[in-house]
Amino acid sequence: MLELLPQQLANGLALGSTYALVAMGLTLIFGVLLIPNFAHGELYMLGGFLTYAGVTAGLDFWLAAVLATVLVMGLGVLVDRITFKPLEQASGLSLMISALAMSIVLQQIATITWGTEPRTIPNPVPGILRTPFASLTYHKLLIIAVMVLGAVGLWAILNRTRLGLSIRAVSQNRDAALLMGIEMWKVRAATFAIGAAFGALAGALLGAAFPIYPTMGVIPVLKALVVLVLGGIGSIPGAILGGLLLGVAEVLIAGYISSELQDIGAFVILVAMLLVRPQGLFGRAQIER
Amino acid sequence: MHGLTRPLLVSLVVLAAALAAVPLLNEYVLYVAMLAALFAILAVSFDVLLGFTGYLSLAHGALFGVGAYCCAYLTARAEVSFWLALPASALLTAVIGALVAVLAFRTRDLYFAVLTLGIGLVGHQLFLVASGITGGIGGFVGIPSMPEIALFGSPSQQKLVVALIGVWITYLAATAFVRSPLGVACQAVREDHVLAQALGIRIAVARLSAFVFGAFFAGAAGALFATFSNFVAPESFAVLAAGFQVVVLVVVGGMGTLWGPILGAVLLTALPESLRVASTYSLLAYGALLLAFIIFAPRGIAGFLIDGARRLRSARAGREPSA
Amino acid sequence: MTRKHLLAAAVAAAIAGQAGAAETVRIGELHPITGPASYYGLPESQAIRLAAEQINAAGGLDIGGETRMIEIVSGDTQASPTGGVAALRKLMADGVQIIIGPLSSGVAPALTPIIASADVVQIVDGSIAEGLTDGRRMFRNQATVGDYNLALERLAKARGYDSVAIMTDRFHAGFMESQDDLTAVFSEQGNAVVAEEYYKLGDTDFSGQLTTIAGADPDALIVRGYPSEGALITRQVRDLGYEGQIVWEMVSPPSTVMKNIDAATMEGVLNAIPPTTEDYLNLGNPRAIAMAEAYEATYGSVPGELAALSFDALHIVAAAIEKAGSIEPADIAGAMATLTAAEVPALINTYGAQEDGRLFDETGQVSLPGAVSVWQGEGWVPLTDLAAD
Repeated sequence: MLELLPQQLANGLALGSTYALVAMGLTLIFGVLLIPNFAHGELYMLGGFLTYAGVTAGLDFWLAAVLATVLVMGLGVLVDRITFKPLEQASGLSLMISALAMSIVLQQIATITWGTEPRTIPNPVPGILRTPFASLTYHKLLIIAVMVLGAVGLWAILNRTRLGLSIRAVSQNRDAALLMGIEMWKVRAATFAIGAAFGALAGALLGAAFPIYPTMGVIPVLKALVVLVLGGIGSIPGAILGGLLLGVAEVLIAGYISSELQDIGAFVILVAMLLVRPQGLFGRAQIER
Repeated sequence: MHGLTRPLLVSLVVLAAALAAVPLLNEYVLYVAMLAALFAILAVSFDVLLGFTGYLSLAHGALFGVGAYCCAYLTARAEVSFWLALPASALLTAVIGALVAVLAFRTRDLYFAVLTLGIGLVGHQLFLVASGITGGIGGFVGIPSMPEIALFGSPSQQKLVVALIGVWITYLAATAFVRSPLGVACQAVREDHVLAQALGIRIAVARLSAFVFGAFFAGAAGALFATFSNFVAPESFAVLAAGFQVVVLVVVGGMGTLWGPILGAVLLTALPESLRVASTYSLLAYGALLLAFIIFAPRGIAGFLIDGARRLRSARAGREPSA
Repeated sequence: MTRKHLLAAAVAAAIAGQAGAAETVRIGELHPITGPASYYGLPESQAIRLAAEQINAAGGLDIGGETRMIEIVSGDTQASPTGGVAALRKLMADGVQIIIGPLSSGVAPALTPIIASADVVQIVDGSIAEGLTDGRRMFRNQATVGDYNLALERLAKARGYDSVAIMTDRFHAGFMESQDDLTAVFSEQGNAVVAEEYYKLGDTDFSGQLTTIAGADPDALIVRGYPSEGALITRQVRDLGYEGQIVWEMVSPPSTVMKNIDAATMEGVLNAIPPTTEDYLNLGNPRAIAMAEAYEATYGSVPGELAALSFDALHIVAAAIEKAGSIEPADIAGAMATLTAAEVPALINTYGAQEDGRLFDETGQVSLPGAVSVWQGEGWVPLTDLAAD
């Protein structure tokens, strides 16, 4: 069994990269705006469906994926306007319920538009990389690469642009940022657009290998929530490390303990983490408000 | 305890009216009404935590399941009488609820919601994996029916009567709880966690008791559900099934009132049933309704009614001097 | 016809006469016609409606000399136990006493206690979970999961697999319930079970389990569940370098399979299940072809894999009603128990006859033996010689 370990670790890192990609968008929005956007899973789903629609209409996969991502970025801003903007003064509880409601609405709109039968897109990167220790499909390597590039890109936006400066300012102290003349609506729209882009990109890429259907976002967003708590809500490095950790843990549980316990294992890790370190790996300790 | 006379009397009148309607209903309406009553028990007890203490738990569906499987096991395998299994299931669920609470209350806000979500998911998975006790994915088959009450009616009518009395007891217990010092402390926790602590309110005891209260009645509702259905399967207790459903019932009905969730349970059980033909759109309507309520009417149906009643009263009061 | 029957027919005729000549026979069907499971449930529901329309167009039912039309009443189970019970209660409250369905193994056991204590006759056309029938009021024209496994077991024996690995969808009630029986038979036959792994409906990454299986390198990998996941598993285990025989146990329309895997990777994969609508079409079954053509003309889509079973179920009910000359559930059930396949000429599926030629056995279950087919090119082809490669 141990000789399979390199392969299992590679499996885990590939799976974990998908979790990290979805979780980054979720954690960005939470970290900056304190909004738990559960409808992120539906942005992921729409990224998959819109790419599918583009490919079906005859577009090249990459063009379709980019178009879908841009469209979903707009949708992300729209979701904020409808779901969260009216609740600016309300409690976190209301935001969570509102987000859950939006998830259902988007799922049903997709069901009415595309039906429940799963769709697929032909894989744009067929083939497998085989090494003596482990083999991975090019598709999985692509996802790992996009996750890394996405993280670097996000870091660059946050740390090397004026917009990024505004976003960081709002995230650190909203009132002070407002006093400094930062336009809140711009930060809000940008944050939602960037967050949605990560969801859409993940949906487009995973839709190239796996079925696309209206409720496909439910499980990834649940996993992303686990990742968030593992890594610390609002922390980008936490989302990446938490995602990889969860992916590796799940694969190792399935490979070495029992595949029947795979789901339980993931959530037991979550519960254990919250008990030992409630703020997560990279989280700031909760501020008593 | 003072001030309990009015809710007692009003609820007795409503209960009597509901009971009087029982003989008029056909088997189908009896079943739907029974489901609505069980969800009302869940919703009222859940509101003590959500509406009065301010914590969003997504583990309530799993606790409902604990009560159901416990009662199923006791009556079908251990051959315990239902009337003994019912309180036993509620108590066991309360104990498990206390364990969950001790764990979950290490966190707050979103962390609390996510942690209870995790616990709800683990619970659902355990119902699947522990197939020796629960029957696994195939479900628990052959749960004995409630012993017949010889006095009146058909079995379906008796089920509804027991469920309605269950709602009544839950409502009274919840009313007594939220008016007790513990309940007042819960509301202080909801309003301002830090201030409550600073004022020397023992918030740990208060919120723990709210969670255990919810768990106890969720267990009882689960036990009734198992006995009335003769069959239970894990999917009924998934986070996205009962766990989320109960949140919707309370929000739409009216958080922070105890009769609002009953209205929510009745309306939201009746509505999808009456919309059965158009059910492709009914889930969309469900989501849109929830969204509309949380944004435009965060106090739910109860909020509408209270405002309406107040306006009516002030209009009348305004007219009186001129009359 | 006995005097009692004559009397019953006369009473029925009198009641029907009272209520007006246009009185129909109401038959309820319970399937998930909305929600994710509607992908399977809606074609079943539509096949039943189609069969009823065809019978009505041909003059309706002859019940003891009186002609009556069929009226189908739909109940949406939403694939959930409470949704199913509510739908059944609604049908019963509307006076429906003949029920076809349900599809989901998660719904069927919730209905059983209600039907057992009511004046209703039921024929299950979808669920393969064990039990469910009693031969008195509850019948089934679908195979049981035991029938499914039989073909698998014969295949493993004929091919002499020394080692097998099993991947089962743990959200599939029928497959999970029969897992232990299946592994017991394999062990008895000398097919050592070297790995038992699980996944769930909707999973996309199976690398953890499949790496273990590929490492154990069994002669055969058996995949039990639904075709989306089946195709992904097949593709991913091949990616991991597994070269043994892959055997599916699932209803798997080639259209769904082809969406998730390329034909070259599927080549040579075996499937062990009773024949589906598509198989009967491929075999040139004239009744299947006629049904498929009518279905497409009416609904604008191809019939689902299970549509033939639902179509048959309505014809069985219709034949039983005519044989009984009554619409009383007890009479229909009595007639159904003694029905032979020859008495239902419209049947699409080839049911194995019981010893005395009846369609249903003592427990109300048909015999619908599984067969093995092999993937060639872009679809399944029946495999005639199990031992051959």
